[in-house]
Amino acid sequence: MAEASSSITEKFFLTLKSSDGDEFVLEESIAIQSITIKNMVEDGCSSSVIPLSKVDTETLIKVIEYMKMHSSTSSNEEEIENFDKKFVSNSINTILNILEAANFLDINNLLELCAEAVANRIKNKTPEAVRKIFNITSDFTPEEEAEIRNETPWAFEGNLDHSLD
Amino acid sequence: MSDQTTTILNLPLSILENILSNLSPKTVFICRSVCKSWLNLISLPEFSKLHLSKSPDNLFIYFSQSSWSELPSTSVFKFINFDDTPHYHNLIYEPNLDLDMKPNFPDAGFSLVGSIHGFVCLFHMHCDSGLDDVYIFNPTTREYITLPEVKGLRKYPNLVTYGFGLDPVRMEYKVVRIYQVETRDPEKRSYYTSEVQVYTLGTGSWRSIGNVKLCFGCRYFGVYLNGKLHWLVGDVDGNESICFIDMQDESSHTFSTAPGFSKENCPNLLNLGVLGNHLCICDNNAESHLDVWVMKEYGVTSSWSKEIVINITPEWNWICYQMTSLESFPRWRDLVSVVGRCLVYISS
Repeated sequence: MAEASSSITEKFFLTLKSSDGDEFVLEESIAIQSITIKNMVEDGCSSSVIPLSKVDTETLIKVIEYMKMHSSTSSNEEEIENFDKKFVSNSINTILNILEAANFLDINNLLELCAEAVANRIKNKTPEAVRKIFNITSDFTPEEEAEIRNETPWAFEGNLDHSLD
Repeated sequence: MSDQTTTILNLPLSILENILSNLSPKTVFICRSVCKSWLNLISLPEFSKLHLSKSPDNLFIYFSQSSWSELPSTSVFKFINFDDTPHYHNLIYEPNLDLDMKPNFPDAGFSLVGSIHGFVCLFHMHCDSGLDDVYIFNPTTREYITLPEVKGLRKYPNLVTYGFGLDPVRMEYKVVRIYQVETRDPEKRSYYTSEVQVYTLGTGSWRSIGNVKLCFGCRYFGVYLNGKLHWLVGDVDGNESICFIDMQDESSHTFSTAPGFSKENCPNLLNLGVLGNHLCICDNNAESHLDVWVMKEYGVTSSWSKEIVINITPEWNWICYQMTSLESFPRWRDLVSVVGRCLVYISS
């Protein structure tokens, strides 16, 4: 019989501070999914609070939720898949905020997930619907717009989606 | 972000590029008319590259019918998309995306040389002058460039074949033209001397990189795999082997072909292809079946193995001579599509 080993892996914790001033304590092993944070840890700048001046509290909570679920030890594949599905059903503004945070924090999986989610909102929509969904004002003159459409009339054929879902 | 909410328009450009590159070509074209900043982004060559690299593989089939027949002449490219899930595979044909070449090229029939990252190399042969018009075409944006003229006319018995490849280190696209000149020797059999000509996209001119005493034929085009273009070739004694041209250093080498080749089989109905990530040979010398040999270890002659046998009713056999396959589509790894009139074979 082998003797029971009593080695306990020591856990390190980091404190992340949002742009609104809220602090969140997170296990280092989870937080380093962010390459930006990983680099800070490796450079030894993580002993005190890590200020994330570009990420607000609401967005940071979502990002931490995501990182916890995707940290390798605690979740199985199906759970992750269901989590991701639910995660991308957040409002489009929330997703855009998370996208920008994922870009700043350099979390590639999260960036790809949200980019695809936004793309799915654009898919097969009319230009008018796309503008409404994303609150974009057209800066084309009607003539310019007609000209662009005439370059690729085939793209505008078939059933396009007018809905704003 | 605290003082201003993120909108799609103030996202960093790289993120917007990432988002739009997930879309189908059709939706990308719709997005061009949303606003000027989107139009500008989509018009950048970098966007085309990113978009093509993310696009799923699809089949690109050319239908042509010459005007001399009783049917009206046609010259249309059609796209077939793959709906690929673990549980089923489906082929989806989208008539909306049909690309009619007749308005721009009323008299031209095309031959497809090959495709890299969604760019397609094709050419139109002028039988009277012996000149070819060679194009690189982006079916997604429907734009094309015409390659400059090259020396060496296509006049029998001289032969021409092409290949379209990529130097993966410099990321340069290259068109290779093999100009084959026959030497007739009354004492011995005639043989071919082939000049290898290379056009690197963006350079504006063809270069000659030397001669090899091999016959590449004119029916098949170079098969691209791992930075190299491959052809089945015959040497001066009529022995068959595989010749490859390395797209990086432009050197050419040969290695042994699959078993089963004999000089007596004439015409020898072998054809080179790629299956999964391996070089393969489709052997159509038998009447009732098509054998697919796979070179499991690249360049290792002893690794040729007969992997697939497809039974074919004799009356259909004549069309089955050319093979193409989809290498980067994981679940369609075993798909063999024999395109003559397009027979698709999916191995389970």
